[in-house]
Amino acid sequence: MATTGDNLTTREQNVTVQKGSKVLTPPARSRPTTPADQEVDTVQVWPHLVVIEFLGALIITINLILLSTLFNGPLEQLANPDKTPNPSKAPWYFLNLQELLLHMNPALAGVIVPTVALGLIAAIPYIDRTTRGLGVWWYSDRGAKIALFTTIYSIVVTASLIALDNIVKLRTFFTGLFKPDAALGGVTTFTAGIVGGPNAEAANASAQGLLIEALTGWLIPTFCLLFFPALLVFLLKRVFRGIDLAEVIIGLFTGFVVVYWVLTIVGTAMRGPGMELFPPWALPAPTEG
Amino acid sequence: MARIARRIPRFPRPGDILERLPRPIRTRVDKMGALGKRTWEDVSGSIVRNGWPTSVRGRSLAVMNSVFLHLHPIRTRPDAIKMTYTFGLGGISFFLFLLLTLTGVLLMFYYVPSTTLAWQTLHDIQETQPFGFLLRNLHRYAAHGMVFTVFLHMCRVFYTGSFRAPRQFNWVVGVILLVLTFLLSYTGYLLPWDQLAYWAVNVGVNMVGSTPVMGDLVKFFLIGGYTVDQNALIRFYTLHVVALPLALAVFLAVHFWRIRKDGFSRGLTFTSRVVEHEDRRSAGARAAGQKKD
Repeated sequence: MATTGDNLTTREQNVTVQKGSKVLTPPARSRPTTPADQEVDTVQVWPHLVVIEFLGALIITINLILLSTLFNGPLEQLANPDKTPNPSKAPWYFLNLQELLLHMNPALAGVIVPTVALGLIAAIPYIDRTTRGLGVWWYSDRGAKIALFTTIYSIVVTASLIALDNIVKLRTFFTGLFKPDAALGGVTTFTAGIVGGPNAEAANASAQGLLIEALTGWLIPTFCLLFFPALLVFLLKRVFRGIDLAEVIIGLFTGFVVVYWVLTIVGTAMRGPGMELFPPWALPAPTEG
Repeated sequence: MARIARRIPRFPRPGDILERLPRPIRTRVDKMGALGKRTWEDVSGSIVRNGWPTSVRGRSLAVMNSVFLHLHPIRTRPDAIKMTYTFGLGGISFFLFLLLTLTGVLLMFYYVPSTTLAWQTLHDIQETQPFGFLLRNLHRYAAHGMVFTVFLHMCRVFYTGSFRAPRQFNWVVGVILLVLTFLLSYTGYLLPWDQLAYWAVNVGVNMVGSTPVMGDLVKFFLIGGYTVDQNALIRFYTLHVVALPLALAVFLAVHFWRIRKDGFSRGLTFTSRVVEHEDRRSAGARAAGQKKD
């Protein structure tokens, strides 16, 4: 951020710098203005595009046939409702949601988070309304850096949160914390004032369950889901001075993509029986229960 | 060497045999040949409106006059065929969808969506039908591949800013297509009715069942009962082979149509002209500022 000089030119330049970075535009060659230029700068779909499509289809088909010849898809035993495999896993593209399920209330993990995420993704063009940076990779000269920064940030945050929940085990932690206190006559510290009377113990146990679920299933996860994207935006604004909305959205979208894949990989390759965490190379096979 | 080559008898060609035939028969054969050639030209000429394209006009007509090619424009930007711009991800996804339709129809000839027969029919397809295992594997891997390429396609469109005006709605259609792809893959996952399918779908169904307020209702609606059983199988089957592919086809049509109407993201479009205009204006402003200096 140049602050030296106060003539018109520097101010003019500062305006462009403050707006963030140099927004990329397609190379001039590909942006003809006259019909004559357009004629020169376009190619005929037949044969130039049709040939590529044909070759692409051929390559995909050959590779799929090779793959299908070499590796057979699994067909396990006939479905048996009485024999639950441990663990039972969803298809890989939903394993990210199943991984979330371990850390929060099912309604939040299985329904609310994916719905909100897809809704926000669909809304991107209506939030980021700039017409600049159309048709170029990474929008601006630092779009790729923003994506890289976000990738590292998201991997670290997601991995840490999973590790933290695996070590501390929030549910167990809070159950321990709210253990009925003998000094208070078998009532927990936190619910002591809530319920009294003859069925106090059962009522308190139920209140305690609700409280733990509210905390570990809803409050803490929701806080994480809101806080870490917000922290990302804050960091992006600090690291990349003068970042504009389009670049912030590049960060947030990248965050979504990276978290999706980190959760998918952890859910696929690192969750063994009882959905316990294992290193990918020592993942035990599922057992039939 | 040449002498040896001359000694080897030439392999007879159809023309040689014709020459040795008696003249009346030869005339008849010649006439039939001419008739055959004319008929072939008539038939092939009626199938393809224009012959093999050799001129600029012919190439344009080849695209314009073919139902399979007319989704394309006649000319396109060099960037549209540049691998490092699109990576062909949308095209690959669409091709995988076509491949899935083809292999899916073939599988449907054998598969029976019944809890008592599904597993057995699939087992039979694999073990007794010629190329049955190949067919099922192709369907399976193409399905996984499509989920993957559709996701990557979304990333490509995002990082190239191709969702920007006037393509906002096509981005939304794309998100719907992503969801439909997930659902198609997921409904197909139950059909083998093996342990893997059954329990994976149970995990998903229970997730749906945790929907706030109306979870049980949604779950009941999805699987037609309280447990994943025959009703769930027939529902998933119908969704998988009819309802969802139809929905996908409709949204695909809109998706492709809008690409044509909105223009390729690196093409000469209204938006790129707007950008260019803005660029020129800001460049002019900068030049004016420098002049003042």
